[in-house]
Amino acid sequence: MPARKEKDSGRRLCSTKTLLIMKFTAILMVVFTFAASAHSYSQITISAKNKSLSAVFKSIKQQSGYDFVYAVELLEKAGKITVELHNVGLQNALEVCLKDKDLTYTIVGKTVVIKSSERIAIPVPEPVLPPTIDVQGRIVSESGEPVAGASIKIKGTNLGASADKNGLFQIKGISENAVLIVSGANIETIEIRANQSSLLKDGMLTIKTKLKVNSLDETVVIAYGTTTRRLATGSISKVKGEDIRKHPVDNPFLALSGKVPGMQIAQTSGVAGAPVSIFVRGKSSVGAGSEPLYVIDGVPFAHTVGNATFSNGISAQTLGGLTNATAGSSPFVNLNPSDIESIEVLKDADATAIYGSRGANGVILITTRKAKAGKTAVDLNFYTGWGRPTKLPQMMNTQQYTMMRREAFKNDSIAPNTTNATDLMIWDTTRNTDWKDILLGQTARNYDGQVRVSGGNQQTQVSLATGYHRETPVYYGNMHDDRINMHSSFAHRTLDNKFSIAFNASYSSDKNNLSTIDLMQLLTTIPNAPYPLDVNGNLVWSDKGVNFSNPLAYTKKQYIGLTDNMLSSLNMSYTVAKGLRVKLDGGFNVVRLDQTATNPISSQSPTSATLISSADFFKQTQKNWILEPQMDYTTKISKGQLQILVGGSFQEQLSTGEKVSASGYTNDALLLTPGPAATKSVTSSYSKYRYDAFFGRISYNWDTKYLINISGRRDGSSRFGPGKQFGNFGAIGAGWIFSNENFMQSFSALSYGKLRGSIGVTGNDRIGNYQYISQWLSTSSAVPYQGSSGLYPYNLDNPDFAWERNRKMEAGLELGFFKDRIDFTADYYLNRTDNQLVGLPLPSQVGFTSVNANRDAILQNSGWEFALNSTNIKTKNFSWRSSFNISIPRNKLIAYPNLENTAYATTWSIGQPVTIQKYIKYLGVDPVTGIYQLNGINPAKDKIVTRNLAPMYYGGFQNTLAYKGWTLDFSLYYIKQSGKANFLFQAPGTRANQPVAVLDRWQKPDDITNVQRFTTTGAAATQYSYWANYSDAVITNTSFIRLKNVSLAYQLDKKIAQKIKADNVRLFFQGENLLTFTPYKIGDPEIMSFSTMPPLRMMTVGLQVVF
Amino acid sequence: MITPKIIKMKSTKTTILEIIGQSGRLITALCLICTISFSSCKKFVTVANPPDVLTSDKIFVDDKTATAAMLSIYIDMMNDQFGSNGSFVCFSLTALGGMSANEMIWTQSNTSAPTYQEFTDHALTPPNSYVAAFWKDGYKYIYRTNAIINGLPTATGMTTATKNQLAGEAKFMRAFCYFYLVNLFGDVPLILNTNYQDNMLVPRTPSADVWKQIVADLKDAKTLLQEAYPTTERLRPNRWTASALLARCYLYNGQWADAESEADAIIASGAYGSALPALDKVFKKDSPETIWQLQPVRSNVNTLEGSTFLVTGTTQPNYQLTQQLLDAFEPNDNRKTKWIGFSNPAYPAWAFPSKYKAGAGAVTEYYIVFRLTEQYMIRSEARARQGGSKVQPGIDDLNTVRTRAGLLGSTATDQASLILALEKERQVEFFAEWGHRWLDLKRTNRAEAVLGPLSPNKTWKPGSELYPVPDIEINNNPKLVQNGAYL
Repeated sequence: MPARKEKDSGRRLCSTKTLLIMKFTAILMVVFTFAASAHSYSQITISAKNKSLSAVFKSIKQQSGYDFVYAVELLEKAGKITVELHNVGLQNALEVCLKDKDLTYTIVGKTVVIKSSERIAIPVPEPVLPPTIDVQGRIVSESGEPVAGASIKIKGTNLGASADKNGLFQIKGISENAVLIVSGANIETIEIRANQSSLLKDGMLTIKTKLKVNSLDETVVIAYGTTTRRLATGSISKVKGEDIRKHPVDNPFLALSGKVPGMQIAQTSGVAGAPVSIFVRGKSSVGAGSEPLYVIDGVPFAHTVGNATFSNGISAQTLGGLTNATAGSSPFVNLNPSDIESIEVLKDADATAIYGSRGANGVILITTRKAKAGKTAVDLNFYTGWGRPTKLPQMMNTQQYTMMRREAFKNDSIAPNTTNATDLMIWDTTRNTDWKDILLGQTARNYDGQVRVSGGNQQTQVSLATGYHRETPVYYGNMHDDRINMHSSFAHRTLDNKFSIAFNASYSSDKNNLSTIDLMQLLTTIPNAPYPLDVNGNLVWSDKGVNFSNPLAYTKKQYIGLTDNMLSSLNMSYTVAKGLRVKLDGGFNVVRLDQTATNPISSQSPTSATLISSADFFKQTQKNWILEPQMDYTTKISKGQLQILVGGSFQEQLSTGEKVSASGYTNDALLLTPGPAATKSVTSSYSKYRYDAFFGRISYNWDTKYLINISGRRDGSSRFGPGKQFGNFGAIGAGWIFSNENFMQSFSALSYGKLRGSIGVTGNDRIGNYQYISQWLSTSSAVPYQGSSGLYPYNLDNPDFAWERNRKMEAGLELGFFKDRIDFTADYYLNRTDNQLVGLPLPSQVGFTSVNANRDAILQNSGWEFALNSTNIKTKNFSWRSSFNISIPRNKLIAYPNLENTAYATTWSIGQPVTIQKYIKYLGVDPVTGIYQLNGINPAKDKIVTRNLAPMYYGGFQNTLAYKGWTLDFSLYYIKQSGKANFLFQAPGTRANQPVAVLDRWQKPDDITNVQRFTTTGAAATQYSYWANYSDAVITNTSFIRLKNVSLAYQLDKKIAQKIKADNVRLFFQGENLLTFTPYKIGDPEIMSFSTMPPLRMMTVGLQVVF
Repeated sequence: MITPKIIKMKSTKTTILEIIGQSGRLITALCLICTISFSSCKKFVTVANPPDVLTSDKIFVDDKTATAAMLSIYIDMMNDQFGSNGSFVCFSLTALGGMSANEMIWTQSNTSAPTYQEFTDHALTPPNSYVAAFWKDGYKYIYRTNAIINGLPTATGMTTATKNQLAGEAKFMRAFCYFYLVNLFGDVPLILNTNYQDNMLVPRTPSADVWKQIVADLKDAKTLLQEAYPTTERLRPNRWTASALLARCYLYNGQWADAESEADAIIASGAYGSALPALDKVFKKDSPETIWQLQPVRSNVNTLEGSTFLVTGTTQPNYQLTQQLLDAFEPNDNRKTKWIGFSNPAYPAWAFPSKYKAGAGAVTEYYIVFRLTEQYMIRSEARARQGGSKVQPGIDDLNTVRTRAGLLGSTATDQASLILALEKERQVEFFAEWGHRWLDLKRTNRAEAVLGPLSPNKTWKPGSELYPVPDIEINNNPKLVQNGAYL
């Protein structure tokens, strides 16, 4: 029976009802669909006395939504019946009704066919018009795969059939002019004439259908299982792999900004491999990490290591490694976007509580692509692109620069001389170098090629994929970031479907040789500096005895970062008895980081007293394994479906690393290994994290109307001291699909409506390992002190700290209109984090700057999230779909006992957001002195202006337009926020180049401007420091709307494609970060810094061929 | 017709009960499993300490481990780069104190330039990262000394000799750290234990009390330490090292007689030679006048002074000595030629300190913290301040130092002229060395008179003698109050 039920679920609205609604919304309806699972568990009540069978069937039809097909005379012959039924199933009802009658029934799809029991083999006699034909046919998808279970109906009659699992169907004796309506839960409904000869092939009518995208019934991955949006009780957002692949990015998360309500994503730099900062529903923790938990194919991704806490992005650097131009690299660059099937973001307690102590910051589930049964498909995809930074500051030329310097000295009443103004007095003041052109003048390139082969049969499916990705920066020199990746998935199930096994493995290797620093930092090099290279191509280090810190020195320094990542998972499941399944999920994951950074003598000024070649080597291996035995039981109780899951989780993360600092090489050519160095110092790291848990979940779905989900977890973590290791977490979620209530049936415009809510407790253990013990470490000097190493206290230990608790509440409303053509979701959440696990900032007088402890502080994150998806236009050749979302986060400090005696005393107040910052009020440039005026210079006392730096709201707007073979996608990302402009620049007038914007400076008394007078030293220079560090003048509106992505694809006509034996040939153009609208004029509003590479405006072209 | 069996369907109530019943049984089973496996779960998440870590109870267990705790202070002070955490006053006070005292300037243009400029201008701002490092690193080492001082009494398995030596060293180092903190910042929180909960809200202790503690610690150190150095070379403090700092403290506090006798004891002991060595021997690692020195521990680098100040070629020095300092040297002062380098004949102002001669390469020079010359100068000044018959022996002490520099005897004849002569002599003897000039001008209340007129645009304010309390410290301990010039 379960198999049957599964087949039936998904199309339960009776056709008459559908037709009524169709008439009602005739203008809008191009397709009509059978709403899924609406009446899966309909119960029938009949009270009939001496009624005709046809009347009884009519009543059953009304209650169950099942159509009846019968010959009228057959029923007349059967006579009248008397029945009394209460809440029985359809089959029960039919059995009772047909008892003692010479009739039998068959349920075909959602149609009940009544036949005479003597003539089972004979089809329903047709009372309709001659001549008649018999139709045999096959329902296939666009790609030719059979569509099982579709229903075929003869227009204007009750006749029909349903396709079997191979898509085959047969209808006999229908009018040759009959029109077949083919529909199904997962296909778009089409109408064709039964005698359409163009579709006939070997006597079979081959009907191609379009797979329907009804987002409500798509599979959504959740913790330890799957569900659908319709049946979910939690707040879950899904992004499909195909949407990620519309973005030509190396890090899949870059494609997610603006797509997921409540998920805030910021790029920390435009350089390939840069970390991406990700928050789900804001920063919930004062001091512990606020990074979500990442789970790839069921295996938690081991990026948390050592003592690192992650406040802003995850990077190799936070793992203790070396830095390159991006201050570390994101481990997710090793996740190939083309291997991703979907990314699900779990937000509320209901969805995350089963992850217990790690669910507080949200959970991101990444599912890789799996093989599909069917014809072996070979998918080739290639693209290449060109890019430039979105915005670079315009710097002064020599004429402007020297003018600024001279004016500054004049303002300061200081005479420039050969000590304080070598740039003016010794260097040539007529030569000019545009450093922006030299350092950042190249066009960034990217290349990406992927091959994917997949195929299999019902029992076994295999897919193999491999790819290559390369990015080069805009920097001077020959730098690149390369990645190769492989992905395989294998799945097998036994013939009896009882045992199944699946194995997924992926391997990727990334090599990054981008420079050791972001060259944006060198833009302040003065324009009349010597040309960086001499006639022989060697670096120039001084000019006329004045040192020149050559910005091209980095070209001699090498950075090589190798990241290898192996991810594998094995899932086995065995059905022990009906509904009872045991499962074992295991995973193993290794990340290896191998970094080298060199500092050769050739990159150092020969005038330096300490010319030493040196190199640093950092290696780290993280091994992570997980075993999760589970058992689930599914049964039907009354009208409800009950699912029970119990399981355990055992996990270990082991991280070992070493850093070798080597120096004193005899030759620069030997720098790439530590061996030849004269001295080496080695530091090593070791950290083990263990975690175990028991969890359970009970979910019950009553009649697809009432949903309840209870989950609980007890888990233990090695990050806490004895007695504090274990914690209990849990949640209850409930949903009410009110649109399935009878009283809602008259609101035909509303096709789907659900109210849901959840409440629960999750935890956060995002602090480093071993923090509860007092640690003394060995000193790491290259030369020991009189032959000995030292031992120093490494931390302030606190054996008593424990979980941070995050209580989450959520209410959601989901609505679908016009057969779900418009769907709308609104969420309100309120999360309160208490028992704050804080890296409590301490004054250094205690010897350390922080200690881990729990505080009584309560932090509240609340907010609204709205999402609207709509199919605006849908005609045969043209369609337009759009989706819009907005997130409005709010944050508030509810309580913080003894706040006045903490580091937050001057910044936070109870009842205010913790994202506020306080500043000294800026009063403009004094028109008399030309110096910035601030309302005080004592930060402790004078910071009285409060500014909130958290986003007020953010979201995205996506559109997909399709016309014949053309598809145009564009997505916008917007955010309303204030930001602190990060100034790299010194007070204008000192010996550093400046943006031309500072030419607006004060020059003489009564000048009214916002740039103070040029200065080299003294009071004005000091005031600049207060202005840049403490005043509210540097807080500006950094809101922006960005045309994040445009993707235009053209699918070649099938006939042309078939000439090269291809199923599908697609040409595409993709553009990233194409346009930005912002009031922030100085730089890129996402980066807000002059020393960091802004995002790149990338344009790519590509080709995809599927055989 | 209808069987009662069919009519009697399960009601909703029983269904829910059934669910509860089923899940109840499951939960019971689960609880049972949990209970059984709970102990093993606990074991699973109890991980061993990492292999590269010792816990605090494993430190004061034997002489070698406990000594390593002490050595970490010397190592870290010498290992850490200037500007990053840890070097404390090593080199940083030479450079930054030198800028504050108008001895030298930073000539290069980089992102640190404005931060250096604040020292030169006497216009420090509370976020100045170098000022923050002085405060933070001082307390970092004070924590370690407190850990040792508090940990030793309960130590088992250690010899009394080592216990005394380490206790003496720790007390000396605590005094050393507080000496610089109190000089740079004025009142500073006096922290004598390692309990952060006790210490996190301690306000600034009046400097007189800090000085009292410094003197008490040094007196203790003198008793605990031996005259002999605990190891070969002079790399760890002995009794005379404690005396040397004590003599300086007495001088700074106007305890002239104590200062005189403390310095006299060191000079009279003969432990550091009967005469001052020649100028080019003073900063060598085997200089006989060295009382305490630190061993460079970074690879291929000697002292930071050597590796940072020295200029090869003809380029402008990064740290350039000021004209005021160059002008302070009397003609024929050999220190000007032996201890100062000039990089380019075309620009005579391009001068740099070259007391230390070794930059890169194998370690041939140690970093000298205390040397005998200072004791002569302390004794001289202490005698001068006491006046009367002590003036002449004071002039003799001064002349000992001048003679070594190739100069004739001082022209000072009385107390007042001797005191001024000493100020000038200290300037040219101790330039680019541990910020002596900056601390001297402060302790003699001469800073404003000497440095005020030199500051550009008159940025000197009353109170500029003290550095600002770093804003992060005030932020993290609201009980701290900022110094007057920065309010």
